[in-house]
Formats: sequence, structure tokens, C-alpha cells
Amino acid sequence: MILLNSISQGILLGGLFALSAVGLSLAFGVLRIVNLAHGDLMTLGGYLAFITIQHTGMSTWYTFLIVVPAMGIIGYFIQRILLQRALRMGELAPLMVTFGISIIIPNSLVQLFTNNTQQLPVGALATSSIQVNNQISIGTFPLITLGISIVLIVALQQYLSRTKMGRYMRAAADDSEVLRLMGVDHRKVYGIAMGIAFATLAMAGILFGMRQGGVTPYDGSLTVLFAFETVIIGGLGSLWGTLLGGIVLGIAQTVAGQFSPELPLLAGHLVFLGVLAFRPSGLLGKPVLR
Amino acid sequence: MPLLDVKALSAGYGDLVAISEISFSVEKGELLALIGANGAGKSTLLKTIVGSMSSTSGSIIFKGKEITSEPDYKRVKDGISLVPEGRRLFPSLTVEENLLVGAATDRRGPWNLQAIFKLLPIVEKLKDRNAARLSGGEQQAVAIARSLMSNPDLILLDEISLGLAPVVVEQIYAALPDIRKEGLSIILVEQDLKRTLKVADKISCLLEGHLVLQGKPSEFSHKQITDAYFGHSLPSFSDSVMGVK
Repeated sequence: MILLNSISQGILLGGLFALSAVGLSLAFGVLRIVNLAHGDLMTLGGYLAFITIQHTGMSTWYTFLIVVPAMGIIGYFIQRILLQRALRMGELAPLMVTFGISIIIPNSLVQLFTNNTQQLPVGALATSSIQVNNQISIGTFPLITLGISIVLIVALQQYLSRTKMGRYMRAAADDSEVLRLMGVDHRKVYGIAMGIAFATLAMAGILFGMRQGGVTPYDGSLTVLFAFETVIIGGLGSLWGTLLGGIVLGIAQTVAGQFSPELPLLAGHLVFLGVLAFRPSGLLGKPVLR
Repeated sequence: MPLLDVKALSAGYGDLVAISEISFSVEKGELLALIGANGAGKSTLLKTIVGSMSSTSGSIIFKGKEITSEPDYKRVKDGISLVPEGRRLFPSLTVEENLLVGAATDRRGPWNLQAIFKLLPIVEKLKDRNAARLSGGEQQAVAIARSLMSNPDLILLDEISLGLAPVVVEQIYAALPDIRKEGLSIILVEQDLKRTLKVADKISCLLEGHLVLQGKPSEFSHKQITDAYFGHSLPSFSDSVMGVK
């Protein structure tokens, strides 16, 4: 029963991992950009929420309405102004740009806010939970996180498969040069894809901060690792795979946590290595053709 | 006024000059065939016209408007569409989705999904199939259909029979008159000289980046054309290389 409890906690945690990995998966899938700054941008999202709370006194939940669109717009312009130029210089250049961003963000945050944890209060939801029986209880906040994550993945999947822009994104991932020959400026498509990636990672960043009770400047170095592991475990190019990857990673961490408090991270990495060794295309990913 | 007017166009890769001082024009409804051996610069010329490659000198005028420095995606909106060599469909999209991306410019004209399905029934049968799972001939039909979806005034066909079974090539060429019915102009690049001469209103022969022969197919003997093609005993070629008029 204890095992069942930790598995259900793992599933809930997996929702958060999946949410934080969606943007990484999208950026790689459509733009072929490996965003090393993914975790630090999540942290930035958390800090933007904190700043918004400080200035307006609003509840953390409402900051989503401001921070998520703002990060979306930032993502669009970072793509158009920085990464698009770098893409012309080969595959390594965008990687270096995101690496640079991943150094600038935490160091600036330390300068501006010190190393202390900045609170992102969850409110009454922090302690409320649903008691299933006397051994299993499900926290309301993690349940909401999982719900948001599933809704977002379904919405994004629909967007990619049903809308015009979604079609252009998939076409751009296949062959951006030919997409231009169809009359579509692929740079704009890339910008919008990166904007969506930034919006989702901002959501994940705030929720991650809320779960931890707050944000600190160097959170990103760990969250980027979870996001990468989630994408690889689930399989590149499959959003459902990303959800599954998050859940597998979440379960691995919480179950290992039952045995020793030092084990969760190690267990997560071992599952990740196991997938890389025995199923490199990921659980739901298609085997690489090209 | 010709539909497309190319004046003294040159382009190249780095120091290599791929096409040099090419001039020709295409009238509305006309089919111009570009012929020439491998590496003569035919594909480069097409790429320069659609804007995937930039020219080093010269100008391209389309429907009276200078488009020489316009980016490729805008030229499609003007009405120039390329069917690229090797088809290059979007492999992860279905056939129908490929066609819909082809219609991205929202240009008005005779072509839409229904008209395409009527012209090429095979495309309708395959519409829900993933483009990666098509035979070469099916891919070519879809690639032409995708280009038509932009309702172009001028369509450039680059090596459409390359690697296809003769029977499939026959089918594709059989659809050509219907495609041209609406007054569409075509620039055709094709290895098969015999087939090309049959359908072309006008031919232009390229040799090592230079235009060496131009006119109606009926104006030339077979020998003249093959000589130009392979560069045998061609005084006009050495003249143009030397810059002598």
C-alpha cells in the first residue's frame, strides 16, 4: 500500500515533469534547437511571477495570466533576434547561444535577488488533499498540476495536427526550405513555435516554484536535467511520450524515495540511462529512420 | 509584355560561376524547356528564379515587377512556384496536408482540393496516406499538385521524370494539357530530350552556364540541338565565352 501511495505521488510529480519538458520537445522537434537554457528560463518564469506578486500583491495563480504571455513574447523575439541568426551559422551556434543564456540568467538573478528563496505561495491548496483511504492521499496541488499538464498536451497536440500554423510547424520540421517555396516565411513559424515553448516552460517554472515553496537562482540546473530526461525517456517528437516519460521519471523518483532520501535523483538517472541503453528512441518515440 | 523577363542573369556558388549572363523570356501560357547536360546550370537557373539562390548580377522581372531581390517566400505570392528536384514532399504530413501547405499563399485561381482530385484521381485516393509512404511516381504527382495549389502564373518543373518508371512519366505528361488549359506558363527542365521537344513551345539550351541556343524546336535540326547540348563545334558558344558579339 505504501508502494501504491508512492506510485500515485510519482504520477502526480510526473505531470510537472511532462509540463516542463513539452517546450523542450517542441523546440527540438520543430526548430532542431537544443535549448540548454530551458531550466533557467523556467526559473526566470518563477522570478517573473515573484516580481508580479511583489508589485501587485495578487495570488500566485493569477500571475500565470501575466507571466505566461510575457514569456511567450520573449520567446518569439529571442528566436527571431538571437537564435535565427545563430541557426545560419550551423548547428553548434544556437547551442552556444542557449548555453550563454543559461549562464546569464542565474547570475543576474543572484545579483538582483541574492541566493535566498523567493516565496511563491500556493495558498490554501498547499496542504489540502483528497484522502482515498487511510494510506493513500492525493494532494490537490499536484493533482491540479497533472491536470494542467494533460490539458496542455492535448491542446498542443490538437494545435499541431489541426491548425494551419501547426501544419506549418510540422512542415518546417521536415523541410524549412521547401516551406519557403510554398510562400511561408519559416522564420515566423519558428518564432511562434519558440513563443509557445517559452509560454509552456514559464507555466512549468511557476508551478515548480510553487511546489518547492519558492524559487532560487540555480533551480534551473536541476529542472533542465529532469526535462531532458523526460523527453528522452518518452521519445522525441511524441507529446504523449513526453507525458509518459514524465510519469515514469516521477514514479522512479518517488518510489526510490521510499527507500532512502538520497536515492530519488540517482534512480531517475538510472531509468534514463536504462532507456538510452535499451530503447534509445524512447518509450513512444519512433525509431530513427534518417 | 512577357510574363517573365530574365535579363543578363548570373549566379554562382562562391567563386564558381554556375550561370552567366542568361537572358530569356516566357510569355503567358508558354512552355519553355530548359535543356542541357548535367551541371549546365539548369537547376541553378530555376533556383535563382524562385529566389532560393540569390543572383550576382542581372535582373528578373515578373509581370512587369522587378523581383530580383525579393525573398523566395514572397515570389510564391507573386505567382511563381517551383516543383523541386527530388519532389521534397513533407514526409511527416499526409498527402492532403501537403496540398494544404501548398495553398499557403491563398492566391485565387482554378486550383483547389476538388480541382486537383479531379485532375489527378490518384492523389485523392492517397489523400490520407503519409507522404513518406508513397512511391516515386505518387510523390511526383503530389509534388506537382502541391505547387498547383498556390495557383501560380508560372510553374517551374525540375526533373519531374527523374527515377520514375516510363509508364508513370507517361501519366504525368498526360495531365500536362489539362494543367496548361488555364493559361499557366511552364518552365520545364528534363533530361529526356525527345519528350521535351514534343511538348515545348520554345527551348533554351544551356552549356556550362551559358545560353547557347534558343528558339522554337522546329527551327532547329536534331543535330543542331544535340550539338548545343553537348557543346560540339559551336561557334556561337565560343563567341559568348569570349564576349564577342
